[in-house]
Amino acid sequence: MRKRRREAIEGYLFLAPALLIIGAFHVWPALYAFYMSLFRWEILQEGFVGLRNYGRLLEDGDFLRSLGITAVYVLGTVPLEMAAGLALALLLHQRLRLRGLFRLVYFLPYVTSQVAVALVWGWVFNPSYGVANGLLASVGAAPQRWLLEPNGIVAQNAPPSLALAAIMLVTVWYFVGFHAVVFLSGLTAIPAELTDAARIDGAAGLRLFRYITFPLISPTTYFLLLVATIGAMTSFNLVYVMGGGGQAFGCAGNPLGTTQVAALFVFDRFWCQTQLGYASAAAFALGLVVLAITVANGRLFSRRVVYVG
Amino acid sequence: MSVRARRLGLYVLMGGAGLVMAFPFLWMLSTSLKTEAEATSFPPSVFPAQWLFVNYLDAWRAAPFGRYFLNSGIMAVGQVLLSIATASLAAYALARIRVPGRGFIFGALLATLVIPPEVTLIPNYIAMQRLGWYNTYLALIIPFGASVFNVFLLRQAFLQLPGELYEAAVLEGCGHLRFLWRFAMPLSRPTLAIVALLTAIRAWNDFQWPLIITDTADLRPIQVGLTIFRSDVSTNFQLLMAGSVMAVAPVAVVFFVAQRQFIQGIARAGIRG
Amino acid sequence: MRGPALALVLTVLVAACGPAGTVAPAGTPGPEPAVTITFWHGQSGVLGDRLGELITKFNSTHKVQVSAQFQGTYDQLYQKVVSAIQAGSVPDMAMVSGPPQTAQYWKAKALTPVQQFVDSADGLTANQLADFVPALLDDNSLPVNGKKTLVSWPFSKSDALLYYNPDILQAAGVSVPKTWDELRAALNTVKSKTNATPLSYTPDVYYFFLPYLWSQGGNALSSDLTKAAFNSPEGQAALQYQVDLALSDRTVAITQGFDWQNPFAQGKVAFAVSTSVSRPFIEQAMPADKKFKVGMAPLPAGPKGAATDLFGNNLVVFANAPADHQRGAWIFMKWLTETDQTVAWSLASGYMPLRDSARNAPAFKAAADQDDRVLVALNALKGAHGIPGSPDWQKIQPVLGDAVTAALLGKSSVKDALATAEKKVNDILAGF
Repeated sequence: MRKRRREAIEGYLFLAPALLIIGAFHVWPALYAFYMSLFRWEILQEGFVGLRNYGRLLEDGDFLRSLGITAVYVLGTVPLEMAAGLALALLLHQRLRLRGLFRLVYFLPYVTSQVAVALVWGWVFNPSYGVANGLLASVGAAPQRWLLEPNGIVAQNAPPSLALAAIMLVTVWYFVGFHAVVFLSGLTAIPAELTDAARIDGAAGLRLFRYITFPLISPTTYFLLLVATIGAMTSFNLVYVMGGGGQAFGCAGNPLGTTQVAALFVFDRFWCQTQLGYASAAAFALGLVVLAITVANGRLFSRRVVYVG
Repeated sequence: MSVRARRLGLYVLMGGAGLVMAFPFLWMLSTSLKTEAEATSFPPSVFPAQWLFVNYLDAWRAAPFGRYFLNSGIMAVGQVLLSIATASLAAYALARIRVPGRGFIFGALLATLVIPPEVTLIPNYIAMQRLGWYNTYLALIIPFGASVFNVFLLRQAFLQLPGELYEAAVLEGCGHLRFLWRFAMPLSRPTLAIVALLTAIRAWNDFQWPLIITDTADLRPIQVGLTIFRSDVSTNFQLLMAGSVMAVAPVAVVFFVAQRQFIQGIARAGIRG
Repeated sequence: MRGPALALVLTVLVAACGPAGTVAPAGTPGPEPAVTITFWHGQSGVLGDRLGELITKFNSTHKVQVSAQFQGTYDQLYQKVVSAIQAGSVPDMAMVSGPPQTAQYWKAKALTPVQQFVDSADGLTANQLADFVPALLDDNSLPVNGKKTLVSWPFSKSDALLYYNPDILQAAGVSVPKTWDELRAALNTVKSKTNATPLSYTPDVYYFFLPYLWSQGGNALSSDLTKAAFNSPEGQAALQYQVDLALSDRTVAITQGFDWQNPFAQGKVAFAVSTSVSRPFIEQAMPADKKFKVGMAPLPAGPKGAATDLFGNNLVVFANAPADHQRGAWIFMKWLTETDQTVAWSLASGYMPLRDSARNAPAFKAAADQDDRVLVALNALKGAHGIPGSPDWQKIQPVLGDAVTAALLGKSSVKDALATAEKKVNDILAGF
């Protein structure tokens, strides 16, 4: 008995450092954010206002707009990343020479910092000197304002603006390699006997994919969908450096707010406008939305996941 | 279609995709070697007229890149060491020690993954000020000193250790800590390598947190330094690209060298979710 | 409570409740305190070096010693000060980039108003105060208990000016425009008679909208800073003017950030707008074979004269600093803005001298004789306005900026853009 107790205590001691750090810097702050959101808090903590910040959020056109923009961003990047990633993975799955080299090149964006990536693409899209307009000029098309263009690509006043669309393109480019690599391991985990047996039965190409391959990589698909969705909902680095503005602290620019995804909205209110209480409310609200979607994602898709063995 | 034609088509497709992936990096390199006038000429030239390697020297001198790299290095190494330490201990406890409620603890840890970073950003910022850690290495390292992800990966690795090994060690008078240090960790070297690599890369590329809690050049890591550099050089795009190449190079080199482990690590983490 | 502890508590109470910034009775300034004060600033590069030289000079002739600490750009300095206020670890004095920041610090009760020092024995007589350009004193004043009070103190000031390329103007047969209408006509003439881009600038609230508004007698906010005032006939005229240039006349190339600078330096653009300290940057960007003498003129005038915005930085003293440190900080600030120093700083930095007596200083006169462009910024000062000293300006500026952008892109009519902005701004000002 005493030995059990001693072992238990030892176990807790082992767990302590990790639990302490995670508790102090992840769990406690989440609770404290809720506390902060109940106050009017600018440079200094001012008065208790209860849930008034949340009420203001619901009436805040900018906040609601940022939710809409985030939704467009998620819907415009996640399916595309995954589809392109899967396509690349299927290609890589063939017995090809130089497969290692290709894999390297596709994955390279993902290991590069988002800041560097955003700076290069920002340069590509520079309206005065960038290669994007250079390409347009070479085919006789008019130059675009790209990251400064608030007009939509579908309809003039509907998201995504050209600026947001450009950022979405870069996002897909950045993450495709990640999806490709993960899908590839999913593909290689499919037991060869299954695909061989299917082939013997006459299934090939599209049919093979639809009835064998795709169902069998569903755990991977589900995982990637979850990770990509959460990542896109809370995306900050790329959008900030490309769409946040021309200055170091990104408090200018941002064509008519059309690139202000939710995470940028929180950052702007916190860092640029020094409204700590209000920003905390927005952050907390965003967190709840993420949680809700994660749960919904789980309910919706986990039933469709097929496990082998 | 003949098999050969199909193969050729496949290579073309993949090569094309590869070019799309690599294109911005090539562009970054090309611009970094141009003069300011050439970089700001329109339409832009594909290859630089002269290869001005001196731009790298100019960029290096225009901002304290050396210091920025040092700071990123300190941050990465610090986080790796601390994170491996905390994750190994915790993962071992969850995998091999009979701790009451360990299932619940593990579940709770996984649950913390849904907390989005923005929620913790502002309170942690306030906390850093109150602790006096604002603009110090402590603030860059400690909050990331434990990762649920790393705990998860190591726990999996430790679970796969043969039970008899531990029994044998106990007979030799080995306690848990000793066993962890002398057996469990060395036997899980591949996983440890992946954990170290992923943690280091994440730390090197981190941006939002260092942005708000560093204030002076002597604490700033490279990613933040790059954005500051952007506003400093305003129209000298060739210097900005040179700076970006320098920021990207270390990770790219590590990636090329450790490619296999890297991709394996991501993939393995991906499969089990 | 025991004896020593009680004494300690009482001492702390007295120190905390005593007047911040103890002032000597009017008449005799006391001896200089022998303290070292911390000064947070945002002057980088060459300007930082020059500032350092000035400080060394001060330190060698005074008991008060100044320790200057560079904190980065104005944005970074602001963040650092905000963090310091929150953490309770402020320096003795710092630079602020204008009335909105001063107003924010003031609202957080972090500052000792400079008026207190001006009125003290170390302070300035009415005559001395009158030597300062009134617009600069206004830029540093906030309404305190209904009375206009000096909260900060001017230091490095620049204003917005019209830059032009005299060669292009000559080729088009245009003289330097003095009114907004003349500018518009000049732009049209340049467009029809030459290949040059008439005007290239990065539009925001400060370049054009506010100066035009002020030159019509309008204002961005009401004088008590509680309501938006820009949705007026003057405001609509201000925005309509730019919209006409951009969308009807098509005489404007709209750029982002500093991208207007290179084309102008390369001689392709007739007019540009920027602050008075931009000249060296423009000259540096000129290609070796195509240099020209950059023309500088005040912004055009409206019915109520020519107006311009004030940029640069002011100085503040923090209330949490020890009393003798605050006094030392004031002594330094006063010295920095004496005629000799303001002339020296102006000639070294390109910022404007702060006092009328500077015009007659030999060094300044000599420089003006050599190049009369030195006087342009100074002469424009009489029409200079500071940015509205509202602590909410940080939230208001993006709203106004969006209105300008929306109108300039043709996405919104001038009336609608300003009406939308007005509603938002009034909501912001109403606060909770």
